[in-house]
Amino acid sequence: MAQQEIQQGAPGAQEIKKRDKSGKKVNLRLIVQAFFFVLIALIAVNHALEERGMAIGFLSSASLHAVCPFGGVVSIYQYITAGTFVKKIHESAFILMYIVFALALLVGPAFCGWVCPLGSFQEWLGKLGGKVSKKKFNKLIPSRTDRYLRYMRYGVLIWVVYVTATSATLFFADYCPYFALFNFWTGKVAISGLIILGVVILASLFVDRPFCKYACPYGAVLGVFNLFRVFKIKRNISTCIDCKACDRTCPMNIEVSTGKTVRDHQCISCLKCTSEDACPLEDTVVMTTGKL
Amino acid sequence: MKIKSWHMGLIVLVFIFGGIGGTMAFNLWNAEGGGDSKVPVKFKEGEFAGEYNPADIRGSYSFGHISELWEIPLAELGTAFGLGAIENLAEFKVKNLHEAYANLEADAEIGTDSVRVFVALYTGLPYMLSGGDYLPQPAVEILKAKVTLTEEQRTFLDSHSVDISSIEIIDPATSAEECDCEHEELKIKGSTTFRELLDWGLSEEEIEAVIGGELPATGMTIRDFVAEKGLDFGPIKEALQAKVDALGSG
Repeated sequence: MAQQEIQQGAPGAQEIKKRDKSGKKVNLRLIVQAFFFVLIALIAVNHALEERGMAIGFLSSASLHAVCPFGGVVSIYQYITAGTFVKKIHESAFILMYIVFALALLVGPAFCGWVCPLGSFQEWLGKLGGKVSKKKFNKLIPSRTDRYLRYMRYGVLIWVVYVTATSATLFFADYCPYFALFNFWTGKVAISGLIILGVVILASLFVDRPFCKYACPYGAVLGVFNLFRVFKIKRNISTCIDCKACDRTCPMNIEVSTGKTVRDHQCISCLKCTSEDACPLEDTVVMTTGKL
Repeated sequence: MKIKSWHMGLIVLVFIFGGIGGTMAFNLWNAEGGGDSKVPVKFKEGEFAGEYNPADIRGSYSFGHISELWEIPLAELGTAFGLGAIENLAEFKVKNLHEAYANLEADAEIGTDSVRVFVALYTGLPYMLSGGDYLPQPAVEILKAKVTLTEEQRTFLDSHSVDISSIEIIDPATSAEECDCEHEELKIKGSTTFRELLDWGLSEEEIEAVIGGELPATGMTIRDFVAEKGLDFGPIKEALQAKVDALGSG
């Protein structure tokens, strides 16, 4: 009803979309996220079962390292110099790395926004946190400090790649909250990993995707693709009413409303800012290749 | 063209599962040890481009497989590693060396790295020698007799040779049959898992007291655990063996 009033009372705003309030919108991203979360959890469980000789046949019993595309990134140096993989890394990690790079080249870091189980887990915790801290959620860190903290993940990336290259071991597994999340019950997780996972869980109740924003080395790699990806998030200035709904909904706190094209290195291609979701106007914030 | 949620969902699924399926079809996908990973990587450039890289030899490789890949006579491999008495040498796996040399008292280890070094030096392929790589004396003698070695390599071999003349090599294939599984026969080797220790009767607390931390995944071998934690295998093995032996006398 409110939408219809806007349409009638605001000349030139005929494009404001009518929302179907009678039917619930299917959250496709949530379904895809949940699918990958469950899939990875099952693979982790099956890997542990395999070690006890009880693996479920139709499921992969690969280790999480084997199905993590970041394993390919940290192994690049050893692969180029010695032609071998870092211990625990297999061809699969390299293949996934190439697949995710190709995906990022086309639509940006969709892996972060649609696939990564740790990202999804933080997002779901954030929904819980948002109910507690309400309007303060995701706005706790002063924007100036936040802006610099966002580059910290590149420091983490350099550290991880350097130490892996010089030690030829997958040392980051001892600090990785993703590995800890799916293996905390196996006894394989170092105490450092559990502590970091605890910090991430706690921080997720106050900040949306804290690990993605400030510490994820893989997010740092994929974030670079935002500079030259084929399909970009674009804003149509001529139809935008500057309501800033796009800014408010962005989990990564990107100010979508301040430019024509989103090139921020933190965009995760979640599409929450687009006219399909937060933006109240048709064809005003969209992911596209062409001009608006 | 505009990308909407359903496009994105489809793109993500097609890229990931299409990519995995495509690489599986070309036999490139390998997410687990062993299996299709029996083909080692090749040198990509330089003088040895196209040759198999010995650094990629895994514990799951058999001696027969290595013999074929690097064209080293199987008998020579057997002699080099003192495995003349092994029943089926072609099927003998590199990882079984730990078990075969379980009686080795010296700190030096004969294992996967030893095979890598031998194959690399025998074939003249590049390999970064490490201070922790040791070879059985017969392997060193074969290399010195058959291969043109540099002075540096000779010095390395002289200081990284293990005398195995007095060592009783255990054939893993037969040792299992001979075991009557009494406590006094339970011997901890590199390939012993924490699960086996529990099965033998040690409690979690006893194991944790020795390893100085929580019990890892029980399927993990003790050797992998100590390697991961940067510990010495010898003292841990001795302390655990003492506890296992105490079970038998208690």
